[in-house]
Amino acid sequence: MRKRKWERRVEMLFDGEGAGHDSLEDLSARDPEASAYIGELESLREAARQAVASQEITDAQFPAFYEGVRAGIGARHGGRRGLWAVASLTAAALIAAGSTFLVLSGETPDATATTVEEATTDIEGATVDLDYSEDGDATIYLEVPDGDLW
Amino acid sequence: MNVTGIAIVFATMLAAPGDTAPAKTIDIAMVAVQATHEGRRTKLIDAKLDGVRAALASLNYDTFRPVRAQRMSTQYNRDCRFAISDRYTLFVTPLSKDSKGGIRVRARIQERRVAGKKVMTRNALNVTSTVAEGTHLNLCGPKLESGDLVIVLSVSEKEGSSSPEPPSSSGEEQRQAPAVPRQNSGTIPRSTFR
Repeated sequence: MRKRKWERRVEMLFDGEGAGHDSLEDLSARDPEASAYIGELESLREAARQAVASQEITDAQFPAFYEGVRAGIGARHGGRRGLWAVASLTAAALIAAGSTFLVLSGETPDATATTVEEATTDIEGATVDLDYSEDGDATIYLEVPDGDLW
Repeated sequence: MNVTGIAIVFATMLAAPGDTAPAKTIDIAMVAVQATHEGRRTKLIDAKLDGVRAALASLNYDTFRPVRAQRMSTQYNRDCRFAISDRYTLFVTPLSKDSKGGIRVRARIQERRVAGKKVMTRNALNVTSTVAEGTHLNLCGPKLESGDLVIVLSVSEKEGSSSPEPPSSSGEEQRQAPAVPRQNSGTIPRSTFR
């Protein structure tokens, strides 16, 4: 937007230029529109000054700042707790699934021995275990829970 | 050589192995045992189980009573069905032979229950294993009366014809005949223990 002539003159005065013209105070007292514009320029200058000013934490502000840091650390721990919660839920799901589907990967016996690739059961809550004997036999133990209500 | 000649040669090459190679026969021996914990100092293994005494001796039970023993012959990818009791049936399917001579099998213990008019089944155990010559696959744990069912399995391959019946005069009829696993006698008695 193109600025009007009086606005440019106010800006020059505001920046300390325009010697020989009216002072900024005279202009502000005489012209309410110019006064309002001078107020806007002052606000703008103050905002720009604050933006470049470095933020320092004073002694009085430090407890609040430290409390914020602690809160941040706590929040990060909360995130980990969420991760562990997901991990434990996954483990629980795997254990539950393990009762009906268990893939065994025991110690690999000799080439001349019987080996088991996979052993599963449909019995809910049951566990499957694998044992290799020295004479080359493979034994699968199914542990059926006492309360197997089928 | 014309195209017809080449086709005949190829057809002969493809057909020859199937016509002359002997089918593999797989022998499957099964001994079903009722195993219990009775607090014995020395293990009690019934004399009828002498053939699998070594296999049973390493198991975590102290008393072994025979339930049933059976030996069957079959071919690769054909099911063998062993009726163990009213409650349990064992299915064994030889799948392949590995480079070291072990026979890969799928064994399944099916449990059956009758509730009124409804018959329900579930797989108590479903195992895929490679059974080496001279060793056993032991399946333990399904409940059997006051103890556990233990099944001792051994598998071996034999060269030769697997057909249990003499060849039929009609080749077509022979191909369509159902594959019935053959029951054998051997170190494991073919009949039930009791």
